[in-house]
Amino acid sequence: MRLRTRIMNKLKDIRALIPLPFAPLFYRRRRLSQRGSEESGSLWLTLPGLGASGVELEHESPEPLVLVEPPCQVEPDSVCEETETIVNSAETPDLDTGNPEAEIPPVPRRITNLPVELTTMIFSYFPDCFLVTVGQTCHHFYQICLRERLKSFSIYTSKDSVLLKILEEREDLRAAVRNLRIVIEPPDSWPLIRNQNEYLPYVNSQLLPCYIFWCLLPPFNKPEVQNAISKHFFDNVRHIEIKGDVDHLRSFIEIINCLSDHRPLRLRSFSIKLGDTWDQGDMELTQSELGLIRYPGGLTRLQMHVSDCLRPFNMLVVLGLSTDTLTTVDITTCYLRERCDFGQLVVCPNVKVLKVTKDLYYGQSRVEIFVRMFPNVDTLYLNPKMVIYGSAWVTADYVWPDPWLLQWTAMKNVKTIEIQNDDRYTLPMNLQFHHDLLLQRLEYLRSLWKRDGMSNLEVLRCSRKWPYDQRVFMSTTEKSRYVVMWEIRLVDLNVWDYSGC
Amino acid sequence: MSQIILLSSDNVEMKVDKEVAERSILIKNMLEDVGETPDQAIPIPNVNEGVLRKVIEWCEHHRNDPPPPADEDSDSRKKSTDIEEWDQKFMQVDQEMLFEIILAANYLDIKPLLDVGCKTVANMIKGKSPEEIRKTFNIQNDFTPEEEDQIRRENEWAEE
Repeated sequence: MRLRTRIMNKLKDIRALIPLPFAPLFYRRRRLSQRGSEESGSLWLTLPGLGASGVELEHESPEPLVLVEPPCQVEPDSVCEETETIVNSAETPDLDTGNPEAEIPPVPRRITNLPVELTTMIFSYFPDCFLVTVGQTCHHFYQICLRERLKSFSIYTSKDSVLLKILEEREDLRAAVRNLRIVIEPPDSWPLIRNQNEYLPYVNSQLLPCYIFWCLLPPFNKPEVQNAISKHFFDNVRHIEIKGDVDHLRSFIEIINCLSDHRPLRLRSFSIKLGDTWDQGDMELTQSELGLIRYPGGLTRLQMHVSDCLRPFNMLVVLGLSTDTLTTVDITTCYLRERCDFGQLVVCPNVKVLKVTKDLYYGQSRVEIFVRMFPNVDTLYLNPKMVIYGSAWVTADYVWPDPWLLQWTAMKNVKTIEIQNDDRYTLPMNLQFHHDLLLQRLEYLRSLWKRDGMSNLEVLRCSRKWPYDQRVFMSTTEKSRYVVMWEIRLVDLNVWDYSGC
Repeated sequence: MSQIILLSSDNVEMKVDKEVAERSILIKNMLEDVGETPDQAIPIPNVNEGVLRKVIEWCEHHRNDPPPPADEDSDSRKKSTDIEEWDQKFMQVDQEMLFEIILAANYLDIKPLLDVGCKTVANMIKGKSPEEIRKTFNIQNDFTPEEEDQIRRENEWAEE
């Protein structure tokens, strides 16, 4: 066991040194030479109850003291069984290795001597790109930065990754990877149309043949990616995000199937983000392929943001594999529509946090579906995506509250609701500027929700991030029947993004 | 207001309000285990007088702060390095003392103080080149030219 750990354990057990109520407490200090022989044992810290008053100190050594196990060659103290030996850290033999010649490192007073976990904590404030710079300072920093950079990294199917080569060579680094993001992109040489707005008018004429040709090409996944997954490089990963375009569906299927076949042991959180460059309606070309997807099960957090054009995407299959384990779900409404067969619904009784984004183009979803599937939700995040630009929000009484928001009264167990907004929708650009009006509307909405059956609702807040760096929370908490407490606080945007659903 | 006595590693006793000392989770848990306010000094063997005084000063100032969220995600990569004005002034100490405070905060389990300390060091590093970092912290460049080349090549993937 490392010395530091042992010291921490000792201090965690400091209560053992303080018998009720702080009765006999001894610290005995033994100074050991590098040969391990006892030179003196004159430091005694005794308490009045034992006859000795005050503290006797040995002053010749100003170095900080640490608690260590008594060396095995020293006889246990015969005076008191609770005696602890305190040894001058600079003179203590290395008890871990049994090598009496080795010295315990001095108490760190320089950054390079800080324990690795503290240096890691400091470096964790840096973005990846700056970790690269810091890693060029010295070997010690390099190793810490490398592990920090590996914690969350992205693999792009379109590019070679030196990271994978490093992981191939260094098995010891693989456990450092905690969050994996796989971005499915075709190689540069592939025909690719990125700008939807520019090309959309021509999709059905000039570019359609090109698109069909493109769809017929084989999946472009790099074998290295699947190789790394199948070799369990990512067994310590907790969260995986797969991001791509519905045009790359076959590549997506290959990767997700590979992940399911070689499921990382600690995988708990999964995120699928499939956008669409093209507007392909119901994506007839891929309906049959959707059935080939094998999803990982046993997840606690699931995020699925899949393009509207993938309506056949069977959300229920994904949820069905994790019904008992899921606690947090983040989905868009397009999967659960009016056509949904209630008999096929899966129930996820442990989901407490639900985030629902209303898709813009496909109308209403039935809230009862969500209520049946997630009966025990207590925290609800709603993103209505209502389009109200700029100052128009101030006069937009006619859209507040959004009827879609009012439907959620059916979720009667909810205690907290947050109305979220990431773009120029629903909420004013500057929540603080429109503070008073916003609070009025929130209060009105809260009263409607409570009136219609959300009797447990305690906190209502709204937030937006764009275009500011910080997300503004405004919440209303009903502390008593007649008193309404308003709370305004600034919360770091990114913290929320990370810890929220 | 009940008080307790803390005993630094260099054997100096300091009287502190119990509420202040309980900003340290280590001390708080210990007092809870003991069950009553002790009238004997509690040894803090890893922290010397000067550092312990600084830590107590911080705890005094932040005695009414709400406790930090218990389940906060440990990935502080997403956090800002903003520090309150008072804390900034508090941390205007020499490097040795700064690292001692960080170590003491870690040892005494005072998470907000540890965060402030780490942010302070992070801000000292931020935006600097490797050479400037070495100069700031008196670090020796122990890379060979070949290793520097190798690292530069490895870093290509950082731009992905």
